[in-house]
Amino acid sequence: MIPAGLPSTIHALRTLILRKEISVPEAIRLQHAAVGTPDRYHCVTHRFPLSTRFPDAACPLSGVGVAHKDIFHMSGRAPDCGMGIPDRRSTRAATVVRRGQNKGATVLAALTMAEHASGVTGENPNLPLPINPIDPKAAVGGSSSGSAVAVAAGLCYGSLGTDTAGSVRIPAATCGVIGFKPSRGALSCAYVAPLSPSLDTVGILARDPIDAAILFRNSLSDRVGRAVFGDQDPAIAITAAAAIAKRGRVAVCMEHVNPKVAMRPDVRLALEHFVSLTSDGSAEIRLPHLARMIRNAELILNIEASGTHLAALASSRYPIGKSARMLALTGAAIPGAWYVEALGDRDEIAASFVQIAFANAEFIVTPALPQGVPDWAAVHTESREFDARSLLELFSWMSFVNYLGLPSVVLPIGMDAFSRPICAQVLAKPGCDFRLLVFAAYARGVLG
Amino acid sequence: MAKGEVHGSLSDTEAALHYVEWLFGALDVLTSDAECRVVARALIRLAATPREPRPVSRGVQP
Repeated sequence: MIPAGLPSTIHALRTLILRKEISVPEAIRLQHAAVGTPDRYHCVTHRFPLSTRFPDAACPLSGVGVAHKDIFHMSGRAPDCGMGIPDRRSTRAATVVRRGQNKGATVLAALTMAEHASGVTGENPNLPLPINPIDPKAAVGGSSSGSAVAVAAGLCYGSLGTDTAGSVRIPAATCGVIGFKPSRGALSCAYVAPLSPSLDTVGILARDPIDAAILFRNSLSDRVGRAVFGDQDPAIAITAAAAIAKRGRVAVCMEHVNPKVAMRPDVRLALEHFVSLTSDGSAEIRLPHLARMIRNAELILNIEASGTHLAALASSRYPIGKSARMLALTGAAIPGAWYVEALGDRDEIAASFVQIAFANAEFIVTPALPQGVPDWAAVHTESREFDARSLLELFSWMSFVNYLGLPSVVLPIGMDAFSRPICAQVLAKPGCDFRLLVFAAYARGVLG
Repeated sequence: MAKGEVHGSLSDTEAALHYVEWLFGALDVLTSDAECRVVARALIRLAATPREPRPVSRGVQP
């Protein structure tokens, strides 16, 4: 629930603040209190104390409460990475967090996650199971599980997560919020605990595409921000561009290369409806090199995870979760030549992918969760009803995007018969993050 | 064992398991049998994934 007296979006809140209908301290105190007690959705790992000094109301994020996956360093506190260990000191905040703070954002809390970002659900033996605000029986995707839950529950206006193989987009899709993974390298990963540096991307979760754009703009360096958004206010830039946007040139891909990944008929219908509303004559395509990209992403993830967790493999004193350990062990056994080939081929495969898949389209639409949002019981590894295929379907459309470094946004496009969200994933060419956010805002307007 | 045959009559899975157990022993990594089997299966799967030809380079045509 959004705190009483506050609007649901950042741009509406900022309008109220600039009109002096609400003060910055009042807005922050309401949000801070909402995050504080009780943690109904099991999504908070640490609540930051309320500062006595508030930013100037003119700052673009002044009055806006945000939170982040507990993988970002904060000044004075090292991230917990989902391990449930006592607070440790850190010397400085992650660059991306610091940029938001410099623009007036207030960091309310650190949020739950899968251990060391190594899981596609929010399952974590060190923490209570996160509760999906839409439906308590519905699973919460991971690894940025708390980031999606906090936004969906209205506890903050937006959150940061990290996405190595879908870890922002999967939880966003399960909780029905916007999950934006920018182009590789757009947002700084400095002082963010790594998993696989070649694939890791900082991403943004929000309830509205314009809010995602505002947070994105204010998390970029000034030089890159101006290059992407110009000198305009991001909300105005996106709103204006979306208002005059026409239907896009969209290609849609429904068939996965893995025959085990099927699509539920209602998800297919929702995607077809979404494409018909937003595209100017769509074409169904098959994604080139998909099997190879998924394999290469897996190789890179495993080997780099083994490097990240080398100390844990050599000594039992270093705490590491079961999923992270299996990633690292597998990576340690993979021949180095496979890794060199997977990484060495990336530029060539990306160029070929862009040339073929975007030949007649500006955007590519794929399903996010081809079987919809599963029950916790189907994807929790300790459950008697656990189904490995349901787990596979959560991430099957994700990892190749990180391999290519494409910008991608997951957005809700409908509801299924169980009142759970159906989401689409939209991809754009590398560097076309602004156009992608405009398309998401346009689509949100068309869908109503 | 025929000349040049490395694994004799071992199946792929058994061969991969031997490799994994040897490797983790050499690296001084403490693992359980179950973990070694999971890693061996992952190696088999990754090795068996069909590879397509490398994409054609978009270099300057003569």
